[in-house]
Amino acid sequence: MHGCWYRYQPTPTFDDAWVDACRSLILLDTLIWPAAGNLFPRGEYIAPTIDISVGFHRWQPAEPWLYAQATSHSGGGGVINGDARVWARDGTLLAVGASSLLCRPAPPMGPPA
Amino acid sequence: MPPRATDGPTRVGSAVVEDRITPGLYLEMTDDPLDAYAHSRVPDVLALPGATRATWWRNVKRDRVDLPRVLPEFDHLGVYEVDDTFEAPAPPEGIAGHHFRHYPRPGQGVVTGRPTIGLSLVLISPKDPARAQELRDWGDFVHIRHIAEVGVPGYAMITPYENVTGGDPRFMHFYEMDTDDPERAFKSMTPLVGQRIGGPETDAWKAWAFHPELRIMYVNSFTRVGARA
Repeated sequence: MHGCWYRYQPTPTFDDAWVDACRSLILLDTLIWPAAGNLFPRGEYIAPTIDISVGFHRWQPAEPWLYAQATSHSGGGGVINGDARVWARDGTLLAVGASSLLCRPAPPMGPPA
Repeated sequence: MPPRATDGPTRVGSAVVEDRITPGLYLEMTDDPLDAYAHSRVPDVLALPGATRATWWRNVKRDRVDLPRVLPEFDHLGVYEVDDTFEAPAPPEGIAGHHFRHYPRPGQGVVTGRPTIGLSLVLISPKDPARAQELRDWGDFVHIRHIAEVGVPGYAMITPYENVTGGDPRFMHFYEMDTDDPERAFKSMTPLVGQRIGGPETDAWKAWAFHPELRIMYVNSFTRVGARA
């Protein structure tokens, strides 16, 4: 499980509902990896998302701080599964998501081609 | 997720934030021999209403000089997981006690599934008690947040607590670790944060490391020696 407070910079909030939803979407999309990735040596693996499902339940566009918590329930055969939730500072649940990640060894780091 | 210090747990049509932290922690600090403390004092405190589990710890960096310290240094730490019915006892001579309640904000970091065998104990207070909320917000939204984001090897959950008396030390940051070398993990933390937000010469680093209301009361690293429920 990984949990942390987040605030976007330089612009923490957005009036547009679609952009506001993306604040949660980005957290739900990216935080399954740190929930599972602490079991792996640093930098030796990558895990891009291969599917994601998100429900947006409430809207608090004026709230800059979001608490996101992600849990990885399963990992095997190169696929990591997990779910995540995003809350506003007052405890309002904003969004819930689940995703699968394709976990592979990181390509070797070298000079740009 | 509970929203404010004065509110109880809040449910907004959903489960609260996953938070396996107990409602409170009662700490005892002593220079008494640890075996004697574990055999005589631990059963007494565990017998009190509301005390559910005890762990005892050894200070691995006694008299550290790299950080300020207001509270007296000590060799051994008793940590008691307690519920809301617990009332801190008057500690016997040679033991200092501090009773903390889980601050109603979620902890940050990772749950690794491995046991907590190391601790970093951080006790802080505001210079002006009227500005305690500013210090608490800095702790949660600036200081701890960056540490949790970095994912320091050995670090697990970092949970804020508040002194039930409202006095000093006002806040406790309870850093759980799953490493048997907590001081090494602690020493690695600041450079890793610096790699992420910038070094000590940057405004971002200064904002992370310092707050105008910050009084560091105590910081040190501990290894777990024993546990009893």
